[in-house]
Parts: sequence; C-alpha cells; structure tokens
Amino acid sequence: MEATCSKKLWQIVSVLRCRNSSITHLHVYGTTAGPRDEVMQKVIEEVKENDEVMVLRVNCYVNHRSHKLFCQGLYNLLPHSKSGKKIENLESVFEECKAELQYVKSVVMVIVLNNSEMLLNFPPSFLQALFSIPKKYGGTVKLVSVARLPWTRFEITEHISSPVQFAFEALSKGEVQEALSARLNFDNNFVRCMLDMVYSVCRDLNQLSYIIEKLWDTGTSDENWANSAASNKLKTCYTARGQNRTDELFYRSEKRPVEDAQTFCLSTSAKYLLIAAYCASYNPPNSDRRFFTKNHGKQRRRVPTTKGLRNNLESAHETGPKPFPVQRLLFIYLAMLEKHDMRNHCAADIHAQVAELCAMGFLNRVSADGNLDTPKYRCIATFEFSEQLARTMGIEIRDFLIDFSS
Amino acid sequence: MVVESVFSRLLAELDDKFAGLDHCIKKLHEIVKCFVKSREGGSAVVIGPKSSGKRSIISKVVMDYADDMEVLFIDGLILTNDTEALKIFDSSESKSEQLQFVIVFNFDRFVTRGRQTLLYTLLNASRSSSVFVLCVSSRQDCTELLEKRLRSRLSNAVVSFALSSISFDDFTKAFAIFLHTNLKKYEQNNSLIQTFIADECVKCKLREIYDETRSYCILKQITATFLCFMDAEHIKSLSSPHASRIFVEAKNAVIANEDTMKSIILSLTLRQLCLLLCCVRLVRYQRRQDFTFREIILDYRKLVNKYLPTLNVKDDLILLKELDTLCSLTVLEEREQCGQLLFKRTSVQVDIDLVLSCVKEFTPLPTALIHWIDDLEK
Repeated sequence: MEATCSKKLWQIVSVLRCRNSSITHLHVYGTTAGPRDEVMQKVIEEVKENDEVMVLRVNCYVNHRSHKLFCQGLYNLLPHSKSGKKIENLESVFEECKAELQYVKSVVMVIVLNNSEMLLNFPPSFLQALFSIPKKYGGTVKLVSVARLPWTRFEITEHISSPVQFAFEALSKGEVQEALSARLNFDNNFVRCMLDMVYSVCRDLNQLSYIIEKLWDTGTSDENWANSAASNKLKTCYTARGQNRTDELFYRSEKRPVEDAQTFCLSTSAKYLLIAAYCASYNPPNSDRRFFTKNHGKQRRRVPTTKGLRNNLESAHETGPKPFPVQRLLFIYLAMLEKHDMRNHCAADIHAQVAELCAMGFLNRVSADGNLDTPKYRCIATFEFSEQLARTMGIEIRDFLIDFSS
Repeated sequence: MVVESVFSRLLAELDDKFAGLDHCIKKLHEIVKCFVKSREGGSAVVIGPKSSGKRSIISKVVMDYADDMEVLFIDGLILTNDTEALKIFDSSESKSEQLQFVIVFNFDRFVTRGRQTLLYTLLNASRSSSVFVLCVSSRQDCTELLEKRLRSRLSNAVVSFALSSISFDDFTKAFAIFLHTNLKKYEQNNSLIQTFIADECVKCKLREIYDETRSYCILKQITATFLCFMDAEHIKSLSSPHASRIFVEAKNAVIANEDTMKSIILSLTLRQLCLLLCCVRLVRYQRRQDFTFREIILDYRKLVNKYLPTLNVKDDLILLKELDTLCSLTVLEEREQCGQLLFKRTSVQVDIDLVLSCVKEFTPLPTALIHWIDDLEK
C-alpha cells in the first residue's frame, strides 16, 4: 500500500506541474477508510517546494451558500488581494488569479477544493462555468476537487467536466495494523487484539487511534500482554467489556438519565393534547368510535368483524405515523378530558397548544403553510416517550391504541 | 539543470495539435476572411458536442485576424443575464469605424433565458453595420429554440464540429499524431510510436476508448495524462516495458473501467455492509423499492442475532447513524424528512449485483455471513 500511495502521489504531482490545457480538473476521492487526506497533504507539500507552483486551499463547507460568497472567498485567498475589492463572478476571480501568477512569477496555480460535495448545492451551470473557465488559461490554473464520492455521482443530471480521477482504496486490516503500530507505542499484541474487536465497526485510522488509546488507559499494564498464551484468555475477558466501551468511544456518547422535570415540562392540557395526538396518528380513523365514544344506546359487538378488520390492517407502528386533521385531534382530546373528568380544568381552544407542540418538535405539520382552514398534523414523538408521559398522568395509553388492544 | 525529456516536449506540443478538424478550421478561415475583406456584417452558427475543440479552434483562428478587427468574447455560462452581456457589447461599440467580431459561447443559455434581447441586438447590428456574430453551442437543436424574429436574422451558415464517421484507424492515427514530434532531437521517439501502438494491450485499450467516446479531445487528455505518468515514474522511452501498463493506468484515470462505487462499497465497515445487505434483501426478495429505516434495523437485528452476535448493538441510534452515513455516501437515497429518523424512507442507489459481487471480495468476511448469503441465494 505504501508503494501504491507513493506512485499515486507522484502521478498527481506530475499532472499538477504540467502545462497542458487538456488537464485542468483533477478529482481525488476516497472515504475516510483510505489514505486520501494524508496523500493530499504530501502532494501539497511536494508541490509547494517547487517555486513555480502556487497552491490555494478552499474549504467548501465555508463557501458553499451563494455564488458571490464563493467567489469572494476564493479571491480573498490570494496573497495580494485587496480587502475592499468586490468580486462577483467567476471570470473576475480567475482573471485575478492570472494576474496573481504574473505578479509572483509562478507558472501554475493549483486550487484545492476540499469537501467538494458541498459544491453540489450550486446549480449545474455554475459548476460548468467553474470547471470550464480554467481551460482557456493554457493549463496554468488547475482545480483539484477532493471528495468522498466518485465524479459520476457529481454529474448525475448534467455533464459538468471530464476530470482525471484518482481513487484511494480503503486500507486493509493488515495495513491498518501496521499503521497503528507505527503510530502508537503500545504492545503489538494489544493493538492486534483491540483491532480485532473494533475493526468491524470502524475503519477510520484516526478514530482507531483514539479508541485504542482510550482502551489502553482503561486496560492493564504491559505484563499481561507480553504472554501470547495468556492473551487469548484476556481477549475473551475483554470482549464483553470492550464491546460496550468501543461503542461509547466511537460515538462519543454519554448516557444520561433523563430528568423528569426537563422532559415533562408541558402543561396539563398540553400533555393530554400530546397523548391525543399520538392516538390520532397511530390509530385508523374508523377506530375512534370504539375508543373515544361513550356507549349511547344499544351497540352489538361483532367480534368476527373486528378480528377480520384487524387482520387486514397494517400496523401503524410499523409504517410510521399518519397525518390527521385538527378536528379529529380536538375530538379525541375532548373525549379524553371527558373520560378523565378534567373537562373543567382545560380550555377547549387547542390552537395555541398545538403551535407550541409543533415548535417543541412533538408535532409536525404536513399540510401546506397557507392552509389555515383544515391543517393536518403528524405526531413524531416516540412510543416510549408517549407511554411514559401517559403513565405519569395515570393513563394507560395501550388501552387506546388498536395495535395493542385485544 | 534538468534535462528535458521527450515527454515534456510532447506535452508542450500537444496543445497545438488538432485531429480531424481540418475542414472546420478551413471553413472558419473562409468566414473570417470574407468578413474582413468585404466589411459587411453577418452571422454564423457553430455546433458541436462538448469537448470537441470548438473554443480552442475558434480562438486560434480568430487571433490570426486580431489586427484587422476587434474580437469580443461573450460566454453564456459566465454572464448570467442579458444586461451584463449587452454592457460588454455597448462599451466597445463606440469605435464605429473598426470591424467587430462577436463570439457568443454557450449561446443556448441566452436563448433559454428571458426574451433573447442580447441575440436580437447583436443580430440586428450585424445587418446594419460591420458586426459579425458567431454563435457557438453544444445543442443540436439550438436554432429551433430561437424566436421567429431571430431566426429570420440568422444566416444559414453552419459549421459543424460533429465528426460523422471516425473509424478506428482514424482514431489510431490521431493517437500517433499526438505522440509525434517534429524536432530532430527526438527523432528516435517517432520510430517507436508504431511499435507502441501495435502492442496488444495498448490496442485493446484504444478500442475501449473508441467504444466509450469518439472524442479526440478525450483522447488528447488521456495522452497528456499518459505523458505525465511517464514523467512521474522517470521512464525515458516508449520502448520501456512499463509503457503499456502506464497507458492503461492513464486510460483508467480519465475513463473508469469499472463501477466507481465499487471502491466505496469495499471501504464500508462490516456493520455498514450488513445494513446494506439487509437493504439488498428487502429490494430483491421482498420486491420493494421503498422501505423505512425501521425495517432495515429490524432485518439487521434478525441477521445479527442469528449469525453474528458480536455485531449486536442495544441502541438504535447507532444504527441510525450508520444508515445516515450510507446515505451521505449515496449508497442509499437521501430524502427530506422532518422528525423521526426511524420512519425515514429510503431506497438503494447502487446496483444490487454490484453489492453482491463486492461482498465476495470483502476482507475479512466472517464465515457466518457467507452462510447467510448462501441461504439468501437458495
């Protein structure tokens, strides 16, 4: 792998140094499992040693929102840019690049666009202009786009450019182990055992270094790993502990117990409204009569029909929440208040509470913004949260859900 | 003092070589010469596919007559509205005595935007004063997009850069021209070209390039890349045994020889690969295009509980993050979703057969997963 990376490095350097108008765009891609960033860093250092080449580095995360912002950011990277000058289109930027080359007596300017997936936020005509303007400068301005995706994913809708592509494959397990042993000063047996545990969920070299360093801090001293015969036993002991530890380290997660006061800060009517919204989202409309209507008059229970209907119904908890109109929410809400004898304590006007639940992220409006007469909502709270909320109020929410009722 | 190799010299000469476009150069010369001689305004249309050398040849031909007339370049990709383009034309119209040659690149952008004011103004000026308008586009139907008042003002002169019939022999000759040099100092290199092209590997790759694209400009780009790669490995002559291998590498850098998503799939972690295999199972064996993250996670838990207990995770959030990573790698489709990640809908964006073939190359692949795939295919 070192030989392949070195060859690719010199190929990129040679392509960047040449002055030919056929090659103005290079595309370097690979995921974080490969050595893309390291090789690109060495390419930039190697190219900068030559006084004939000037390198600009553009972070597309910073300049990806508008055309003028991108052009201004690109212009500001030039060493002799004037602070008050405004650059508004791509042609002006490249003209300034050309003037800069003549000023510092360089021959080739290389513009490295890091994280160039964000360029996809621009319309295709802007990208076509960006990659076609350097063609008329005779190969003295080169663009290098560095991304995780191949170039075919960049021009799905329109042809943008024909770059020279360099792919960086992922490092294999042996190569990762060699790199980690060279990078960390731990015992090789320890590194190999830890890599066996972690490799199935993480292949990023930087992440792996971090995880193994943390595991070493929580592990034992050197003497336990020196004995290769004992390492198998110790590996078995560390597997269960290391598995959970690995997941915590990889995602940097800290599990905190959820505080009641922080989570359930809703008012009483808002709590009833949220429970009603959950029932409205996860129940079919024809089950409202069964759950939320008092038995007025004589009603026969037809068990075979009910069972047949339930067999045909697709479970709402498997397909996701369904939209419901606000009138249905009001109906279920009032029925719940009536059932729990809270009718006099909560107001019947629910629009302010619904707006607040939307702002807090418990409800999601699915109708158009201008539709003020019959808005539709969808409950995006989880079942565990709703059940816990209902239990604190003495309500068993499973009694009102068709997926759980008998 | 670095001794210049033959490949650096070839790179310097490559820009001025145009293969198969002699009739276009001749026709353009005739148009410009007639305009300079008669001093009467006119117009012409240049049509050709992308990367066919239109801009290079037009710039080269027009600069030969730069002393006799003023040359204006207007690009539809750069100037985003007609007002800016008209400013360029108006600012140079003050010298009414001199001939003006206006070249509008990507003029279909001006056609599809607005009311075609720029083109109307230019073509009107070409009928009343000494202005020649050259419209360049990549669309074959660009004249049909014009309004009637513009089409009547545009002449019928059309220069087409689309080469109707290129045989493989023409393609090979163009490649030989690109590798040829006129300097006597490197005359030995010219005698090696035919031997190099006759190599079976080189001929096979040339055939692949010919089948994929018949553009001489792409061939020129591959040649330039090949010459750079030869320089990178310090190879002095085409007779080196490494030359054919380097040519294959240069061809693969410009035109990919296999699916470029293969390297993406092979760089996934084992957990991500299992999630992707669950998506493949949902698509192929349940015959569904759309599914939710929750269904993928349920399928993953069945797979992992039975075949790979070490990959089991308690928290759904970790699996949701892995699925988001697959979406950002464009293996799965990324859709707008407000709220719950669990019910986010997605679909597979790569070829399923490619995924199954990449799994066989994945290392290290647990034997339990091999059993699962075998059970899957029964």
